[in-house]
Amino acid sequence: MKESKMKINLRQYAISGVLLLLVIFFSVTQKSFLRLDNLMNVLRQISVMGIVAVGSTFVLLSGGLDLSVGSLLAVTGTLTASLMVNFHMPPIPAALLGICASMILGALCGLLVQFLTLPPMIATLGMMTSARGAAYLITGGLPIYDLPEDIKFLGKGTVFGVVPVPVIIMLVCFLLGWVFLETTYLGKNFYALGGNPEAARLAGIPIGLYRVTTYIISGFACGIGGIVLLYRVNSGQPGAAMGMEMEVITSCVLGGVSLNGGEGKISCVLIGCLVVGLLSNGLTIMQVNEYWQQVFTGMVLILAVCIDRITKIQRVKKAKK
Amino acid sequence: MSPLLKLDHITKRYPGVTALNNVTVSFEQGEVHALLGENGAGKSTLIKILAGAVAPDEGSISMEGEPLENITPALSVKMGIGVIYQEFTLVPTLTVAENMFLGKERRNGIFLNKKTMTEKAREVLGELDVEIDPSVPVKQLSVAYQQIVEISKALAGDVRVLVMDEPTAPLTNAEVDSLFRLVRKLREKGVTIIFISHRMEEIFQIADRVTVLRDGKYIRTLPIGQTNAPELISLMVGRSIDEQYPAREARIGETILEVQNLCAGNFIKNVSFSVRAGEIVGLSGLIGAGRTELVRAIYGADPLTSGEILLCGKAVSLKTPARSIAQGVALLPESRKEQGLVLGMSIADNLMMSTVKKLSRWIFLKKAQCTRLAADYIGQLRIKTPSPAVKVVNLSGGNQQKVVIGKFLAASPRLIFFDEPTRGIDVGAKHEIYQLMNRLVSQGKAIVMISSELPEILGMSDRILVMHEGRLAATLDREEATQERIMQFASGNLGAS
Repeated sequence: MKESKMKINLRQYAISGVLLLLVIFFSVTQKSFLRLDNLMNVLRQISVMGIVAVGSTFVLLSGGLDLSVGSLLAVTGTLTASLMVNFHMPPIPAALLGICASMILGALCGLLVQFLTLPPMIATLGMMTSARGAAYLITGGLPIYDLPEDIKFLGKGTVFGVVPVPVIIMLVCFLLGWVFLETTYLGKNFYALGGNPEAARLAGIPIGLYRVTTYIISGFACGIGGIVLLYRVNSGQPGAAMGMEMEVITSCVLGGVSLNGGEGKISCVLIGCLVVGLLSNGLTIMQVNEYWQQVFTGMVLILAVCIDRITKIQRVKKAKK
Repeated sequence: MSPLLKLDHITKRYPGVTALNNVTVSFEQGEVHALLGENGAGKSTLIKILAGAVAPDEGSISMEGEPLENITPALSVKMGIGVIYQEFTLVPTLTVAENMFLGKERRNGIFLNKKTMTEKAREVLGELDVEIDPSVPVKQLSVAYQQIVEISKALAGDVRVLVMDEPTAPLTNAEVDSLFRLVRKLREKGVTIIFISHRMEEIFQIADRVTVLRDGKYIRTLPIGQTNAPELISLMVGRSIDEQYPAREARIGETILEVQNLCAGNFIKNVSFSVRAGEIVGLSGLIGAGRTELVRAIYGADPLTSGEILLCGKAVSLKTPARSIAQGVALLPESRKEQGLVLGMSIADNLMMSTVKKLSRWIFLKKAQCTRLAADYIGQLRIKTPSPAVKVVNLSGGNQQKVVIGKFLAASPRLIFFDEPTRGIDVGAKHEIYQLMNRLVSQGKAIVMISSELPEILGMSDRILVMHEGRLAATLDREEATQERIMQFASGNLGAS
């Protein structure tokens, strides 16, 4: 039995192996790769995606899917920017309102999924399109510049002069997510809901409440990510984070989160984000053009899932007598 | 005369377990041959080998003396071996005819010849004397009819050996009777039927010969006339179980549950009954009589339209499973895989599922208490596992059922609904579950047990409620109840008084 336990761990941490291989490969071939500023650069680049991925992990674990994340980021950013610039609202209330808006839109998706039993893909696809439109409407189609400087550190600041603030925020989000999922009973219930909703319901778990909550959590993560992104690019861009949903799903799946729900570890999602970030950074340093980068990223995703499937198939074969 | 199908010295090993160990069995043409054994005895592996799904490590298979080498699913079908699995392989959205010809469609060029398929389907169904419209989507049919379609699907090819894996498990008694008529008809046509069931009485009804397997080994083949149930049971388990249904001394106390004029959906009408502490009340009836629906409505899993529920004399509203659990009511659902377990989660996590809140300080889980709870129930229910971290998907049916039971017992209920508690589990585990039920009532808990197996109802219940078409048709005491009487009420032949 010890042996099989080890195997399960191996499978879970296969993604760490991929990460290690990437690090070794890039450090051997590219001199500038291992430099601290470059590594920090990687972390900064994945920070917004990572924050959003924490929220999406909750949704995916519970058997849902959120395609609206990119648009929610844009709504948060443009709304906050517009409140500050056009309505001269102080930054903190503006940012809080932006985050609230994102959470409300998330809640709406959750309610549609729970009470009108829309498939999550449809509900959030609709939200993705509508929220993107709303972001353009808020700004009148143009970016909003000249943001107040008060909370600029959220996007541009560093701690100890080296660690970017967005990275700290991302790590805090992951830590909160981990504490929530791994050490509280609420976390167990999310897993149960994703693993078998009917069994969870009959065991007395109010699954409707939990399901809607996952989308609100996702909306909240998008809100935080939206504010960070706003100050990273230093303008309210209605077209911001286009296509982010796919990157986020890629990271989660790389991290071993099952799209059927119920399986996955948030710590591995962080590693999944790192893989996506490192791949893009390393390939850029290697001066691989961006189209090829997309080809590679796609292939890594498919490869990682193939490995997962193959190990799973073998495990099932062994389990069946 | 040489046998139609012969398995010769078959051995199949999986890592850590020898599923079949040097098994030799032969099947004659036109016989109903029952395979008997506890879960894990090797029946499933044997079927898989016949179906070509797995290859044996050693040994050979021959059909009419011709050896079949490297058997694959395609070869198996070509040789006329049809397998009907417990889980149906029908496509719910396709019609009966389309399902029957799945993979062997009749075509004109690239176009499907629906007319021919429908006619041929009607012909096959007609031969079996069943009235099913071949153009109806399968999902509109009842489980029993779906199974007939499954059988017809096998017959649409040229089947000489039909393997049926627990075909009667989802069926009511009347449906079992018609299935057996079908089986006998096939036997007359010279089809060999390999029949697997956990229900002893069925084997005596239908089988010509019976082969017992235990722990992957061949034990014995007997003509059915030369054996009896206790002998077969002792061959299966390797020891004799003195009494299939363990006795208990009933100590019946206060009324725990009282249901008054309960209506639910547009089906359950005006049901009233009560259950007392220390009592096992059997809920009998045909499938579709509303037993599961009634219990689910009381538990709050489905909405109820009207009526009152009193727990220990107090009117309560059990609108959700969460409220029921808080009030000390538990439901062991009908289907453990779909409703009882999160298969991908560990035994420990499943056991904790309905009590996680109690195992937490504010929202944080108390690890030590969680571990203790898991260890407690694994020990108490004798769940066979090397570790609480094992995923339940890897457990046998009986052990899975124990996990579901443990999960609900953890919430310390005073009233427990058992919906088909022993379906699809082996004799040994059944016995353990009966003993557990006895222990629970001796602690003063009340039990309502739904079962489609009449011997189980008669053997375990203090009182028997019989349902017919959403109404309570009769309440019988243990002494006055017989299989015949229950069936009369269940089939509506005796009106409700």
